[in-house]
Amino acid sequence: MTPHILMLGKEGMTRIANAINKMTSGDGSTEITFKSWCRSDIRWGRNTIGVAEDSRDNEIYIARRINGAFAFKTINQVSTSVLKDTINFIERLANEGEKKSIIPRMTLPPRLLEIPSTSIWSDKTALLPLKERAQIAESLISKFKDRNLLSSGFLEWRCLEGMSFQFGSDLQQFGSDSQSMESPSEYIQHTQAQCSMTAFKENGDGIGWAGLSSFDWSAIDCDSLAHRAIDRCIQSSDPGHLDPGEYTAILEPQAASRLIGYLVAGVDRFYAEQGRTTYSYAADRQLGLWRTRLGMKMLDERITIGHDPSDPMLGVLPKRGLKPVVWFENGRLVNLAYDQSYARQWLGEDVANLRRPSYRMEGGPTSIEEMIESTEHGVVINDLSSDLVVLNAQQLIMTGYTKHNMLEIKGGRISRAIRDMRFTDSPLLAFNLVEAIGPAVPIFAPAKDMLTPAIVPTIKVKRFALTTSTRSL
Amino acid sequence: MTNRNSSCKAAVHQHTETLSGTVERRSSQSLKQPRNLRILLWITSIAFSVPMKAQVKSELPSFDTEYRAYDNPYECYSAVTRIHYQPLSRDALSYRESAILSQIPQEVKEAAEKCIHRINVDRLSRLELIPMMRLFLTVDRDKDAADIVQRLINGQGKKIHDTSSKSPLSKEETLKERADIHYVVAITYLNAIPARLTAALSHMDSVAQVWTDNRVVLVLRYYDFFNKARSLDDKKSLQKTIHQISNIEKRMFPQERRQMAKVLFDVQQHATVPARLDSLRKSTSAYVALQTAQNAVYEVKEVLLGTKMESLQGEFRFPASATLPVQGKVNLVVVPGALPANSIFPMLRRLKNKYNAIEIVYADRTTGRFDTQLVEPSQEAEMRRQWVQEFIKLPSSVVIEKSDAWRLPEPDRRLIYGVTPNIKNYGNRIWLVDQNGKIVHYAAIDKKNELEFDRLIEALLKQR
Repeated sequence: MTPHILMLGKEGMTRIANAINKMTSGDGSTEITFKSWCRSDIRWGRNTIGVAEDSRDNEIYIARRINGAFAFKTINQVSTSVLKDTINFIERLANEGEKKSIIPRMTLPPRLLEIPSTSIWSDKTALLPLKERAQIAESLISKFKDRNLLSSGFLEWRCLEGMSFQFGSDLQQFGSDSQSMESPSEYIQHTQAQCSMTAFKENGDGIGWAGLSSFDWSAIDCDSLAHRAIDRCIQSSDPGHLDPGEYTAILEPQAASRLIGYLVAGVDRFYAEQGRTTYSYAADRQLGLWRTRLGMKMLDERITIGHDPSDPMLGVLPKRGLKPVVWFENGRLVNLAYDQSYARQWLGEDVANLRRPSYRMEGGPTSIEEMIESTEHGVVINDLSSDLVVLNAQQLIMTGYTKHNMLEIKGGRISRAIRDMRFTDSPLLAFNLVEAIGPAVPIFAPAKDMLTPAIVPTIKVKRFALTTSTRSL
Repeated sequence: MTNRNSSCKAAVHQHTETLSGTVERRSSQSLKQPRNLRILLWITSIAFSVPMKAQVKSELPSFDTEYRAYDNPYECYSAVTRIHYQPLSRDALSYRESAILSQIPQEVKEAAEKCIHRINVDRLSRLELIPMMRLFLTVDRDKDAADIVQRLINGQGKKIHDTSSKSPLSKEETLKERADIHYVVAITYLNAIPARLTAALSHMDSVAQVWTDNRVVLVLRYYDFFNKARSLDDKKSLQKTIHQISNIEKRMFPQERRQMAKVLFDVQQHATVPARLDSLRKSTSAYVALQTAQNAVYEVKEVLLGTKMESLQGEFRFPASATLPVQGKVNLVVVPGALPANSIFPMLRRLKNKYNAIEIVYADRTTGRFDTQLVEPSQEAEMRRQWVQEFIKLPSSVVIEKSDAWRLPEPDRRLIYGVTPNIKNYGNRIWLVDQNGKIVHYAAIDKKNELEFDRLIEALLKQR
């Protein structure tokens, strides 16, 4: 369903693409990619709505290859005269440009893998009326006002549709197979919504943050997020200092996701087999190749991380060959990602195991209250800074800051708030010293032009290294 | 560049501090001077004091300076460096020393002359010696150049090493430093002034006494002297060079000899082209004997040359039942192995068009896939044939081996392909085989080898 009258829609894109193809001189190949999007956001600071934005645009990328010369242009207007001028401009560029000799390549039509269906579109997100959006923001602000707290927040609703076309091909086809070399057009549309807010006291003593993102606005409970931010703000008042050292740490889902993200992002078989990542094991001199850690236990046995594209809470942009995968099973690395080309060359198969930004870490039975009760001395970490610095890529030792004040636990109870500190640790070390795992929940992970949802539990780890206090902050 | 600029700025800043201190003291004694006058004083002082600043090594100039318009030592040094490194315009000097002796524009000579006067010779470091030597040669002041060299070697002012280094050099280090200076001087004289070849050789001898672990480099350099002496017909220098080369070669370890052989192999290949081609026109055996004799000195023998090439293995042959290489014809056999052969197909086509009598043989193996699809070996072999014969349009015989693969155990599962006989014996090379099936020459799969193959095929086809 097209949310806005100015968005192009599948039929509109097809019609325009065909029109563009007819406008070309006919030589060589033409590549057209559409991206049509709209977004609305509301942001507020100190309990006052500052900006409310509603924007949309159509981006059309047109590229021509004529006898080895290449030229392209991106436009955002779809009138016939503009399209004609653009095509003329591109063809002139291509004809005047450097002619590269085409390397002869005898090619076969590739085997097309199936596209999985993923949950990435929500009418609720796309069609939420403007008035309702403003009311949501106002009701959230009123909750903070009632508790004499200041707040800032950001609400955003996005929808995007895209489609690509290819007409003609520079590649010479092998044999007399009638299958077309033109890659088929795929239409994708998705929505994304995010809601995040920070509560703080007038004197700046306490701070509490809560946020959530999803493709579906109805999955985001704004009221409970506001309550969580308020509770955390009150808990983190009058923060004190803690000496650096190794502490039992309860990593709330947002904090845990910062570390797990690095584990999931690196699951690439090609790079691991070049000895460049944490999943490389050792060089096999006999065979002249690198062995990986596939099959080895790398994390605590309670940790299982995987992704299923059909999971309604883990919808990602659909790609050909995307299938359910488990990266870590009971702490053991059981899969690494590779594409179709790798599979053909090294595995003699035609099926890829693609990397994706989304994941689910299986949860455990322990609630955060039980974790606190069972802790003699430790800290609760709400979040970690997003720009962690990796000090050692092989061992994944990284450093960064905690965010939104920590809470100190003494004798099974939260005793006080603590100012943020620098930590230096590795997920490989921390997730081998797991004491308990809580239920898994969706986290706040918005991204531009893609979907990166994740479901992460609260994790209690031993000996988490807080290395420096941050008095200056 | 940034460091140089910043060090420049630091020097200027230091000056400014000194000068402003002077100006303030004066101003307390006399009437207060206007600000413009202070700036004028400051600029004037810098202009007069620069020759002294130029003597400090760390103050390097901006490269953006126009050297012809320089009027301070920073720009002067910039001129030297630009003259040395950047043959930018018609009035800039060439990088090559031999070109220095050709016609030099008068304005460049004047610039160089000014530079010489502004830089203190006793403060030069070894690195600065190279441009300065060129500068002296530019203005035909050979005597002064020799003087600088002597002063540097004798360590006058103790500035033969970097002035920024405070720790004194050990005896061994000093010897090495002096040897480096001798080396720079020897090579500069060798390339720039033929008349000073004897002096250059004496400098080189000083180097040889210290560089006991650099015999390969020494021999190669003495070969340069040998060639120069031969071209000048300087019998004395020639005799001395030969004596030195044989002396050093006697002391070489086997590893050094092998290294030397690798370096000289290409040189010899090019230097003896006419003789080699003559021998090949006579017979393959004469050619192989000449090749072996040339390489025997350095204990490397081209054992494959002159031997008979084994019949190429392969389950799939096009044309079928062909014995490859073809007897009675000159064969050019391409065995790509792990390396792609795409870049040499145009070369092979050209050779085939030029010498229609030769047979081009393409030997490959199956890998279980072709382009974007997994295929059966027989299907893959047929595709590879079509690719070479019909798509690339290379008139050739094709032989494809079926290569077996085994799988690493779970969970790795990677396919490991074994080495096939053709690849084991002849992989990653192009082979030239004569009418009797004997190997004449082989080279890497590189289109740069076209000329060499062209000559050899021509000579081979003229064999009686």
